[in-house]
Amino acid sequence: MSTTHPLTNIARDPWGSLRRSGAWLHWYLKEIMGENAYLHYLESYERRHGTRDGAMEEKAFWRDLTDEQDRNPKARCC
Amino acid sequence: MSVEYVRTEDDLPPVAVVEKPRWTPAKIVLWVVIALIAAVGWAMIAFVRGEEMSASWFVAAAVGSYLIGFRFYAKFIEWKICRPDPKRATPAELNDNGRDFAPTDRRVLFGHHFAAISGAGPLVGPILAAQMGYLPGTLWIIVGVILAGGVQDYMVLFFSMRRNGRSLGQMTRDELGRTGGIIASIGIILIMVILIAVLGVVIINALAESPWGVFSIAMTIPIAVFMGIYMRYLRPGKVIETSVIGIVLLVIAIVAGGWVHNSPFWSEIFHLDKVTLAWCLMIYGFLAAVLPVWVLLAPRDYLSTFMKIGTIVLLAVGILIVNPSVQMPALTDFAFNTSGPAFAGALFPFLFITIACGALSGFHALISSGTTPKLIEKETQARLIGYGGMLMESFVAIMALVAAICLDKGLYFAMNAAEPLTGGTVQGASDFINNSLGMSGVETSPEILEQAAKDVGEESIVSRTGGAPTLAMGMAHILHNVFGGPAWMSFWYHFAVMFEALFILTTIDAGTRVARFMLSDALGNFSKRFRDPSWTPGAWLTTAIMVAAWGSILLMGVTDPLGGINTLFPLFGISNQLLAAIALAVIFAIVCKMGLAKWAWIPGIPLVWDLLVTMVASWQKIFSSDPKLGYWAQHFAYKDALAAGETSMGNTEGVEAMSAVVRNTFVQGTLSIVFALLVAMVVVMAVWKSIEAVRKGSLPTSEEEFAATKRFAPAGLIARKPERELQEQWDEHNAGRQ
Repeated sequence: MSTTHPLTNIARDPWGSLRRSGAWLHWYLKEIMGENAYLHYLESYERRHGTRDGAMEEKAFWRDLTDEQDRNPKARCC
Repeated sequence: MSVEYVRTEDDLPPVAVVEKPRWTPAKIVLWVVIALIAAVGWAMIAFVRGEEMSASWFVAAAVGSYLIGFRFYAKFIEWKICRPDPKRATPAELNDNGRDFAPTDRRVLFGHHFAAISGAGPLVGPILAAQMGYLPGTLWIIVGVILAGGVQDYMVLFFSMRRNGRSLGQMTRDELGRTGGIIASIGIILIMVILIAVLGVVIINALAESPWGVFSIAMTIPIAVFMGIYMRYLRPGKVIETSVIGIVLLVIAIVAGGWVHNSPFWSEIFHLDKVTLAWCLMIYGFLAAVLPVWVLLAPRDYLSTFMKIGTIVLLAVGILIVNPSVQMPALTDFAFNTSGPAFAGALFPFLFITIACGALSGFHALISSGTTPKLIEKETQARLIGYGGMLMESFVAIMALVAAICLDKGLYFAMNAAEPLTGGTVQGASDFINNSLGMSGVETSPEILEQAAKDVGEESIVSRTGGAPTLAMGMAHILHNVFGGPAWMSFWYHFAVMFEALFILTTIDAGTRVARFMLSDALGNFSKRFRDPSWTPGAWLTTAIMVAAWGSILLMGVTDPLGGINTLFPLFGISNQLLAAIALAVIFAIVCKMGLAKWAWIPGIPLVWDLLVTMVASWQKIFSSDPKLGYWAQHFAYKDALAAGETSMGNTEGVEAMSAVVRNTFVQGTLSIVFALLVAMVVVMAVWKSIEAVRKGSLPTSEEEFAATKRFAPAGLIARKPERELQEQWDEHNAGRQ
């Protein structure tokens, strides 16, 4: 287990740090916008059924996602 | 530092690590520095006068205070009342369905929760309140969020999480009984109607007679439909790609708005008056609520989220780089009298009504119950998401306030004085500000106001009330210094109007839809068919009723001879704060029922303060004999004048306009009474239950049974070292199973 200070890591490998923070930002944006929803659905399906067999296809999933919102609307605040 | 590992099952790695933090010298120094930054910021804001003050002191005071509030007060609430259990599974883990129940990364959920609670509200209220000077607004936004808003959001979130993510209405019924639940539900529907209507007035005031604005907002509809089709049939799941295309089209629409503005033919077509726009908004709201979500709502929500993150970052960067200096004084006379041009009413109670979102907003209780608690991974994360998310919204409110107080005072008052005061002309506005505003040191001229309108590509900026145009003007003044220079002012102005419109439209269509479901649920008690959301006649009927409800108040607001915003905005604030009173009363009762009455002052302080504010405001609105303030005083003054055969009164000309005042004040006065009574009943029931609980020591609550967790996730925003080590253990464990 390394105990180096984060700042030392950045000084040692500035480009790597930059790349990692870029990758993190990309991941975060995808998460916030909901792009990873299908991925999370598959993970959840596997947790519940122990397998990914029988899970919805990607296209069907996205359709179902918006159709579900039709039945179950969520409020947005002011 | 002592570290303790918590296990729920022998063959699993620990599910949590509990650290007993110890004060090290480095930590003490860190917190002393944070406290000093906050203290210097506050000292500059509160005591330094007569010199150019920079906006960064507001950022220092706010951020320093937020950190202290989060680290100490929120933590205190966590220890004394919430007591999150690291062994306990959350509803997201227990009912995981990959949809509304799904364990979500805390950093992601923080973003989702923030996007759901913050919209146009924190951007509008502080702007209007700036007429009292910057000090009252700043104090209330920062102190309010720490002692009231954050407390409400965090505790509602926590208690709902312990109750399987049930909604505020259901929690009220479970904890206070059936009658309390029904009253609260009626209150919630009514309050939503008012909120939607007033937000509609805000956006129409920004768009009326602005061909540029109307064109670019109108274009968001075909853009959203295109995005919807694109995501449904061409590239399912490509959310970011679709949103980027949408944003590019949106920017093109803003630029094209400039061409529309300059073309005599097109500007004629998109030059719409307030009444026409109100009808457009109602038709839009109806369609958005009955059409399938994928056509309009879902893509618009993506756009709105994208814009929300983007513009808040943009505004923060702009304020930090430009560091504008403050123009507005710390306190103006309008803090002490009732003749403020943006809204009527003295500091107490109306400051606390006008600034709701950003300090204390009851609407958040609807998100903090029902939606977010079903997604939390760990109980220990509720403080970050509930309290932390609210702090973030408060910061948005501070930035909006800064944008307004850094504007030229003459410009600010010319934009925010209601039309009857300025006559809607640059000459009238300049006369009003120079001669009858009643505030020294503020002056302007018709030339300055004309130039200001020209700079942002508008025909006129006089009496553009409602806050949104002022914020847009403030943002344009700040951002053009960083991006693009003076030639870009009109772009930034319309960019800001566009995103505010986008937020508001998202609230309006989602709100109409939610209200429609609430109504069909209620009607389902009489006819079972209403319970089926796919039954078209029922969907159309309930939507039409909800649209008619907010639409009629909207029409009333935009045609109000007295200016609309200054009479309706207090009603908006009062209803939002009354909703907060319901939420806080329910929390208060739960705390007492848990046998924690000695800590009931934690929700008690905001509850008492909020009740005091809303009830005094309602009282004044209902009973004040000052016609500028009291709905009924105004009602009878105009009624008597009409009966006496007069054809004008004050700035209101003509019998028709006077009858409109009589009618509007009747509706507003009646609504004030109904709201206040509904909330008072809920509060009385909550107090009743609390007294009973205190007598018996405690009462059973509707909290769900304990179930042990089988997951691990860090508690704070940034994972601590033992947590990172534990995460590695879990990664290995999960990899070993596959």
